[in-house]
This record gives sequence, C-alpha cells and structure tokens, in this order.
Amino acid sequence: MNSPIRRLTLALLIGFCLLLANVVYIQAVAADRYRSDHRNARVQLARSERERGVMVDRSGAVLVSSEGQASTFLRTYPFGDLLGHPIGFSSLLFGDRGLEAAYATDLRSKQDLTISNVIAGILGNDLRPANLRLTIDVALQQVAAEALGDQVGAVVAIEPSTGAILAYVSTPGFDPALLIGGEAGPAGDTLDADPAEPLRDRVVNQLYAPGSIFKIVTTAAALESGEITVESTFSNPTALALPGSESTISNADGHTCGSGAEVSLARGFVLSCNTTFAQIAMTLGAGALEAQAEAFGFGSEIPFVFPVAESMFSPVDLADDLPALAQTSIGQRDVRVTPLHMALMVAGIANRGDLMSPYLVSEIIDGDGQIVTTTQPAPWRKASSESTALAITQLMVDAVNSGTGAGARIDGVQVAGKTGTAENPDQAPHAWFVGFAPADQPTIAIAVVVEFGGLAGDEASGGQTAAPIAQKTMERWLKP
Amino acid sequence: MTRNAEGALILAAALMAAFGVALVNIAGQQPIGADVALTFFVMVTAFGALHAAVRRWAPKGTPYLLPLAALLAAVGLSEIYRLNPEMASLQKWWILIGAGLGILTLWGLSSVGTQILRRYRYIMLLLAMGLLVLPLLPQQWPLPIRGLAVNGSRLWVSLDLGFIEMRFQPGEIVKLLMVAFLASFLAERQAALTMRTRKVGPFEFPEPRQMIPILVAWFASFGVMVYQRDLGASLLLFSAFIAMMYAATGRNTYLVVGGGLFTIGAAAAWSAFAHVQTRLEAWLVPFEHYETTGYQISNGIFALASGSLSGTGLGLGRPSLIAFAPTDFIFAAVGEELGLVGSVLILAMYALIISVGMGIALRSRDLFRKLLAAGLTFTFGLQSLLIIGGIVRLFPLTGITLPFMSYGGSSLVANFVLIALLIRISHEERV
Amino acid sequence: MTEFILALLKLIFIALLFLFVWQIARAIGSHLGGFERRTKSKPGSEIVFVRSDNQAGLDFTVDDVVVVGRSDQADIYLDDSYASEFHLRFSSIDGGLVLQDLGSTNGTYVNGRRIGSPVGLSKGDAVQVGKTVMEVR
Repeated sequence: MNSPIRRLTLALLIGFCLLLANVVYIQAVAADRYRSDHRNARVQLARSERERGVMVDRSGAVLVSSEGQASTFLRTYPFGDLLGHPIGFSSLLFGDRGLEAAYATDLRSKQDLTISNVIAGILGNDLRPANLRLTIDVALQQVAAEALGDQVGAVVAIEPSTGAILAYVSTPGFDPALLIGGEAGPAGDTLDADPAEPLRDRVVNQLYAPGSIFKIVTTAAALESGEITVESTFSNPTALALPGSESTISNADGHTCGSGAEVSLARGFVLSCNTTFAQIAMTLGAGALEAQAEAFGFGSEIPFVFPVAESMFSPVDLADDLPALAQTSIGQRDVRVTPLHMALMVAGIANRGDLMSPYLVSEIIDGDGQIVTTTQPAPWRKASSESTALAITQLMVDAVNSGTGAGARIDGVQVAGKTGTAENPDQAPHAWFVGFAPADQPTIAIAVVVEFGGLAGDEASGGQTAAPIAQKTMERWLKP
Repeated sequence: MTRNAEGALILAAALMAAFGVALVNIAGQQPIGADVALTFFVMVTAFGALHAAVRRWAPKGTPYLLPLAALLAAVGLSEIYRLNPEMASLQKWWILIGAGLGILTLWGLSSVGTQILRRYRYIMLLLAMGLLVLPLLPQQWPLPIRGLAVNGSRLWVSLDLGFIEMRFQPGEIVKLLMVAFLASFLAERQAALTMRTRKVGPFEFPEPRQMIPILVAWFASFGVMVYQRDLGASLLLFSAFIAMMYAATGRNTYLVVGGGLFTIGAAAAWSAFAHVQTRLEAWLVPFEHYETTGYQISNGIFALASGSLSGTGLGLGRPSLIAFAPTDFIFAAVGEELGLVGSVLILAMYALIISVGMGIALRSRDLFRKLLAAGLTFTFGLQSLLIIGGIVRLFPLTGITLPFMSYGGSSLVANFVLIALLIRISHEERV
Repeated sequence: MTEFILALLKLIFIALLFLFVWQIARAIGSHLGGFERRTKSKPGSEIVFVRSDNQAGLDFTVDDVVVVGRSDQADIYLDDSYASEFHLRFSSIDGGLVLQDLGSTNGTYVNGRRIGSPVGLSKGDAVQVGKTVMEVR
C-alpha cells in the first residue's frame, strides 16, 4: 500500500526538481539573454523612465535633453529633424539608433537597484547620467541642411587636422521625437514606408558611385608612382578607344580636353577629363591604382562610432581588363563610396596625406560638469606622401579657380575642391563635391553628394549642383 | 513542532503579507496605510480562526500545513495587490470565505470524522456530477443560478442572490468530491481490485464488473470537462484517477493503461481543438510565435529572467506586462519581483506541503484515510507542478490556478477545504 | 538613498521568507527523521483483513496502540455490523503484540476461541470479530 504512494511522492518531487532546474536556467543561466532580448519591453521601459544625459554641440547649444522628473522623463529634441541621424533615438518600438545607442551606458542614469550600482552609490560614486559634447557645430549643420534643402543627399564636414566632424547631414531627416512619443507606432510606420527612406543614414549607410572625385585617388597613385608628374602629358582624343573592346571613353561635354594634341595631368584634373585619367590608369596598371585606393581606406572598415558601409574599389581583379580599369579610374564601373569616406579622403589631402579617425563626441562630462573623457584625435592611415598631397591640393585649387569647381569659390578665401558627376544607368547622375578651405591652412574639409541630381535632375553636375552647397557651408565656417 | 509554534508562524505569515503590501506602497511612493493594516487583519483573522478551529476540533492534526498555506497566500496576496489592488481586496474576501469553509469542514467532521465521507460516497459522486454540469445551465433563465461563458470556456456559474452576484468555478470543488469518492470506492473494493484479475496479454486487469462505477465516473467527468474545454482540469482529474488506482492496487497496469489513454486523449484533443495545437506550438517555440501565440509564455520568461537572482523587489518590477499575471502567471510575477531566491522558496513551500501531505498518507493506518490523503495531496501537487511547469516551459501551458497564490475564489476555497481535510486526517491518524 | 533603502527592504523580505521556510523545513525534517528512527527500532506487527465484506486486503501496522471498532473515532474503522463502537485494542509491548477485547457485545475470537483477558499474539494468529477475520503477519 505504501510503496505506490512513495513512488507517487517521488514522481511529484522529481517534477519539482525539474521545475527547479528550469527556473535556475531561466533566472540565472540564461537570464541575461532573455532579459536583454529586444522584445522584452522592460529593457526599453527602464531606459525611458530613467534620466538620460544631455548632448550639446561644440559651443554648448543643447541638442537633446531629458525633461521632467522622477520616472517620467521625456527626451526632447530642440532642433527636430536637423540632427535626427547623428543623435538617433532610444525607442520602445523602434530600438536604438545613433549616439543614443552608442553611448547608452554613459547617458543612462545609474540610479537603479542593480547590486553593483547600489554598492557604487554607497561608495559615493556619481550615479547621475553623463553628458556628451559633440564636435558638431549646430549653426554649420543648419546652413548645410538648408543648402541641401529638399534634395536627397548628404553633407559631411570634417576638421582635417583632428577628424572631428563639424556637420553631419543626411536628408531627408527625421525628428526622433516622433519615434518615442505616444504616436510612435504610426509615425514610425510612416517613416518606414516613405520611399525616400528618411530613416537611412546616408552619411555612413549609403554607397554611391563617386564619379570624378575619384580622380583624386588616381592622381595620387600617379604621383606616388614617381613615373608620372603633374606635367606629364597624354594624348587628347575626343573619344578614347579602350583596348580589347569596342567601347570608348569620352569627356563629359563630348569634346577634347581643351585644345591641343597633348594634355597634361594638371589640365586633365582641372577640367576633369575622363580621357586623360583613363590613359593615366592604363599606364599605371591596376595594381598601383588599387594599392592607392587601399591607402585611402577603400575596402577597410572606418573606425567610427557607427558602423560605416565599406567603400569598394572593385569586386574583381582589373589587371587583365583595361576597359574596366579605365572606367574605374574615373570613379565609375564598380567603385562605391560613402559620403563620410569621401570627406575623410579629402580631409586627408588637406592634412598632407594623413587620414584621421573621424569622431562625433569630443567630451564625456559628468553630472558636475567635470570632463571625464576627452577624445584624442587619432591618425587612421597614411594615404600619400606630403608632397603628393600638396601637389593634389594645388590641382584642386586650380580646379576651383579656373575649372569645374568654380561654384565653390569664396571671396577672400582660397578654396581647394574637386567635382564629380557620377553617372547612373537610366537615372539622373549623383552630383558630388569634395574640397577644403583655406587651401594653405585648412580648417574645414567637406563632402557633398546630391542623390540623382536633386532638383536639377538630368541636368545636374557636381559643379552646378553640389559645389554651391559646399560653398555655403564652408563660408559659414570660415566667416561666421 | 507545537501548536503554539504553528500560531506564531501564522502570525509571522500575516506580518509578511502586511510587509509585502507595505513594500508595494513604498515602491509606488504611496502612503503606507489602510491597506497594510487591512491585509494584516484579514490574514490574522482567516488563518488565526482556522488555527483556533484546529486547536478545538483537530488538536492532533499536523501543524505544518497551515503556516505554509498562510505564507503562500501572503506572498500571493502581496503580488496580487501589486498587480491590481482591486483584485487584492476581492481576494481578501475569498481568503476569509475559504478559511470559513475550512473551519466549517473541521467542525462538520469533528463528531463524525472523515469516515462520514466514506459512507456517503455516491451522494458525493452525484453532487460532483451535478456541479460539473452547472456551468452548462442556460445563461438567461428565471432561476438565480446560471451558467456563464468566460473567454469561450463554460466553466463558471453565476449565483445571483439579488443583492450580490457571486461567480465560481464548480470544477475546483468537483476535484475534491471526486478524490473523496475515489478514495472511498477504492478503499472498499481494494481487495477485489487487487485479487480478482483477468489476464489480457501481459497485463492483469480487475474484473470488469468492479470497474464499472469508476469508468462511469471517469467518462462522465472527463466528457463534461472536455465539452467545457477545460483540458487542464480534465488532465488533473484523470491523473488523480490513475494515481489513486495505482496507490490502491500497486499495479503498474494502471499506469501503463493510464499513460496510453492519456496519449490517445492528448492526440485526440490535439487534432480536435485548434487551441490545443496553438498551446503546443507556443510551448515548443514561444519566441518564434512571439507576436501571436507565444506572447504570453515569452513574456512570462522575460519576467522571470528580468527578476534574475534576487528580483527587482516587490512593486519595482514590471509584472503587469505579463498577460493574466494575477491568475495563471502569478508565479512569473513573483519570480520577477523576488528573483530566483523567491521562486525557489515558493517551489520549496509546495514541495514541503507535498511531503507533509504524502507523509500523512504514508502513516495513515486506515485505507480510506490513506487514499484520501494521498489523492488530495497528489491533486494539489500535480496542479502546482502543471501550472508552474507551464510557465517555465517544462509542460505546455494549462489554464489552471496555482493553489493559494493565484487570484480566484473557487480555487482558494477548494484548497482551504483540502488543507482542512488533510489536517483532519492527520488528527484522526494521530501522525 | 531611497534606492538603497528599497534594495535593503527587498533583501529583508526575501531573507524573512527564507527564514520562515527554513524553520518549517527543519521542523518537518526532524519530525520525519524521528518517525523513521522509531519504526526502525520497533518494527511493529502487521495486521491484514483476510476476510471481510468490504475491507478485505486492508492492512495496518501496530507500532504503539491501535483501537479497532465501528466508531469513526476508532483508529481503524471496522465495517462489520457485529462489531462494537470500540471493539478491541492491539498494543505493541516490548516487541510483542497484545490483543485486548474492550468489552465488546459480540466478543473477539483468537484462532476460534473467545478471549476474556488480554492475550499475546504471534504470527499467523487469526483474530475474528463478527464476520471479519484479521491475520497477524
């Protein structure tokens, strides 16, 4: 009589041991994984109910702050959609983006009940949220965004000597407040469904064909090779026949590169002649061009606070494919770049061949206003020798003074620049401008891209469409 | 342990309930006040009166069960208060009513003993059948007692007394009646069931004639419960049947046949009911069906995981994100706020109640009492095991309540009576 | 500081829960342990109902004193219309089993003989009350 009852008891108690094992697994072993699961609403709720730090621009203007008190904090964004991409959001429904995500730990108040933070509190550690000082100049950002207007595209301005980002514009933008408020669901769905993709950060997350601004790389490869100088001359046909194929390369206007039978590298650069650079590339060979592109960071991960799409030189070996190499040398074919990378590239030229790591946050400041961490500028890579960089600078100065980049001229300041008009099959071209100023002591380097020609459409060109945007932005910086 | 120690522990449990409610108030930055005092008062009144009744009518009864039940009720009540203070005030009434019925049970059995249940087994069976079909009464008719459909299941009965409408699930009481009937029936026929057998292949079966009443009871209760779509309760009842037959006869045949019947029943339920398929799916891969069927289980797991080792603290977690937190998922809510330590303590309390109850069964000398104690404890233990197992994904989720902790009057009342019966049995057996 | 107090209160609550459960678990443990020891030191005799209308097969152990009768207050309920409310008593004394009739109306028979005074029982003895026969094992 008793042994079956004993066995039933044993069965129940074994069941409870299994419960115990499951509970230990859920609450101890796998707790962190489940707890931080993005679908666990607690994670987001805990964040939104906690005070978060403030972000200010380089001169102290508040860009985002937490308003309210004790568990009812609301993130407010005084500049609306101007800074949506770099600042980002921490949203219950749409996850975390931008600096709000990257600096989540610093920005969050540590006043909670985790054992470590309670102990830290007893030890007198500061539990208040930290604040961020950004490198962005909000006035400059405003000018750049206004200059770009309703056109889709991006503007990135960088301090060449440090890599500090001065303006970070991706249009169309979005107001992060829409994604965290009570109407976040419908607002977010609208943004998500918008064909212009306002939630896409074009600065780091969109790859474009660079067009002629890539000639900077080709020029650097030529000068670094030692075989070609700015004075080296090449033939000047209306259309350059590409060996081993039926296709030809011609210049944007369909004419020769200026007059004369021969054209120098310098004139080819200033007038942005495709025929000249195709010959340069075929003279140099694919290896030298690819090596130079790699020196500028093509195919490398850019060290940045956000993940940056990798710029691409070519997916295939171009050594035996001269037509492809010729097209690559003028920034067509398979070359793809991000606006941030192009800004870094031109900042590298301005910085005499040294590319700096880009950064957005200059200081982390504690609750008392004391600086906790200061970002030290860090070199990323050496792209070219100083002499090559200086030679290219001179070419870019000439391009602005007497060539395609005239639209970027600023009264009283020498601007260096290079335009690009990247052709797209069956669509309007992307208009590019990269440059810096003042040419001899650069304090700002800039990359502008206007997607599919912007308002000008098929008529768009780097000189007409992108250069004026860069001009307005740089002028605001140099003559505040 | 002495009666005085029992009283002291009951007082401690009442203080814990008040402390829990006070913590919820502190966490919510509300003034500590009436609710704390009221909770303490209700707990002391309910369990104190029960304790007094045990002293008077079952002085030799086990002293362990009441404090454990009181502490479970205290933790449950604090958590329900934290989730929904209005539900907590209703729960307080149910605790008082449940304790009252427990006292009534002790008083009723004080002169005649549990043997009275043995004598009136067929009346209990009829009563159980009657209660089972009560929810199938029309929802609209002149009598004050009506069936009630809640969430598509017809498990509820509404008793409209004019000034107050009371709702209850007769299934919980049916469980007790069926266990008592079975204990009585099996105690009577134990010899016949054990001795006279008929061999079918490798299995030995009792004479079919001996089995008729049991099969009738089983088919009736099972059928009605399936009709009412309360699969959790049918599973519970069915397992209790099998367990008690096994306990009475010691024959593995019953386990094998029971297992087979269960498999057939489960397969049939799976193919017949869409909601059974959904539950199975939600059990196996809850996170892949997060948006739909897996939502409830996933959130239960998130809650437990967010509690981690020591919990968020009462009133400081977010158990309101769990659907059905006060009823089916109270364990997950407590696990979030009291952490792994709290969950393990809750499990330990149930395991202790099972040990004490089965201990009473093991040491009972009278067959009927032995089977009654074993049956009651088994149903209690299995119910706890199934619902907690459903939350931690050991089993598919069954919509049954966690004894003493979940919100719900019928369940509380039934479990108070169950504990009172166990105490009475232990008193009669002086163990 | 409020956070610290809340955390402290939480830990106190859990600690109290633990103390409570531990207290009971310890008491139950010693209770069960005591029972185990007692049964080991005194292996009681087992009595089985070998003939009975309704109770055949029922068994119980005598390790102290067991009163058998038709009353619900009796330790072992005897379902026999010839039995008295409190019919007889088994006692375990110094390892031996002793049977005493408690002044029943219809008497108690051991191996067919009606007993008057307490008698010692040994294995295999048959105890009859009315139509019920119990055997010592």
